[in-house]
Order: sequence, then C-alpha cells, then structure tokens
Amino acid sequence: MLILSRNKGQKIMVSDDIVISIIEVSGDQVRIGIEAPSHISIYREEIYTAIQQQNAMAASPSNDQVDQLLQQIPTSKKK
Amino acid sequence: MKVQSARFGEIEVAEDSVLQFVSAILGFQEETQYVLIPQVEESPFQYIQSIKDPNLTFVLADPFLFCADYEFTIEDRWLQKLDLQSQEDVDIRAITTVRSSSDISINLKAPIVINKKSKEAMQIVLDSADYSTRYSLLNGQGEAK
Repeated sequence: MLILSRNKGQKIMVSDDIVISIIEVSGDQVRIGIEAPSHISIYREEIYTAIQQQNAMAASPSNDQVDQLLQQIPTSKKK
Repeated sequence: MKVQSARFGEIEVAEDSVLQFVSAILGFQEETQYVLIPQVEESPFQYIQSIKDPNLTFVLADPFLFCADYEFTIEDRWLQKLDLQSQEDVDIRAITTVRSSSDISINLKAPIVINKKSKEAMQIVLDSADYSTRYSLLNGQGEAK
C-alpha cells in the first residue's frame, strides 16, 4: 500500500481524473473530499461490505418453499 | 432468446426485456444482464435471473408496499448514469433475502433503480438515509423505519 503524508488543504491525484482532498482534520477524524467522474462509484467501506454481504445472502435462495413463504407475507399497502 | 435457469429451467424471453446493469449488484460485478421472470400471479415479488449464470437469481420486491413512507432522492449522477429523463420511467425494487420462514427481509439501504424505458438498472447505496439492509417483512414491522 502506498502511504502518503498530507496536510490539511493538500490533495492527492489518482490517475488523471480523481482528486482526493484533505478538508479537515480533528482528532481521530478526517474529512475527505473526493472528486471523480460520475462512472466511479464511491462508498464508505463498512457500508459497501454490509451491502455486499447482504446481496450474497439474498442471491439464489435455495429454499424450495421460497414461493410459498413469499405468498404469505402481508403487504401494508395493497395497490 | 433462451436463458438457462437452475430454478426455472430453460426460459424464453424477449431480447428487449433484458435488464442491463450499468453498475452491478455489489459483489456480483461479473453479472450485468438479468431477465425479469414473468409472474403468473399478482405478487409484490419478482425474480430476476442472470443470463450468464443459471444458478444466480434474486428476488426483488416493491419496497413501497412494505414501507409506505420509504423515500429518497435519486441523485443527478445516478440519473445521468441511467439516462433517466422522466419520473415515469423510474422503477424502484428492493433485493429480498429469504433465509427462513421467520427471517425474510428487504434491503432498503441499497435499492435497485430501473429505467423502464431503456431497461438500464443499477444498485444504488443510500449513504445519507438511515434505512436498514435487513428491513424485516415479518414481526409486524411493516410500517416502521
């Protein structure tokens, strides 16, 4: 891993089109600004991981009774 | 076109019904094309089947039927990515996790946004909203956040 020291207000270029700025440092917390093209997705790591795990759990339900289980769920607002 | 599915067998679908994920379902970056399985009965749930992987299916739900006050803003960068011009073209679905008869939930934190017209889709992450990735459809939680 590349490790760089930066001061508040300084920036890092990733490739030609991603700019990471150090906005504010206070104690253990750092505020970071990221400018990137719209096709680049940016996530907080813990949220990314949680969603990836949830997706993996949801994928290809193996329970044969999935259809019956789903049919039993009441909806709060029928169309 | 024909699609192979472990769950549904060989299915015949119209080419223009293929959902093209412009940003993949997180963790499934290789799978960007799915077909919606036509439903026989009216249900808030719907399967999508990966075109490439016969073993990969997801259950999607209409989140608004379970969480009436569910709302979020579709940010400009998502609108651009999905080429969304009109609100009427938007479809929102939530990925459903069925673990057992007592553990069924939908992911409100990371819904699927679909452009009904172009069939482009993506999973977005609602970074600022306090929605659960495991919003239970059981336990009378239907109205709670």
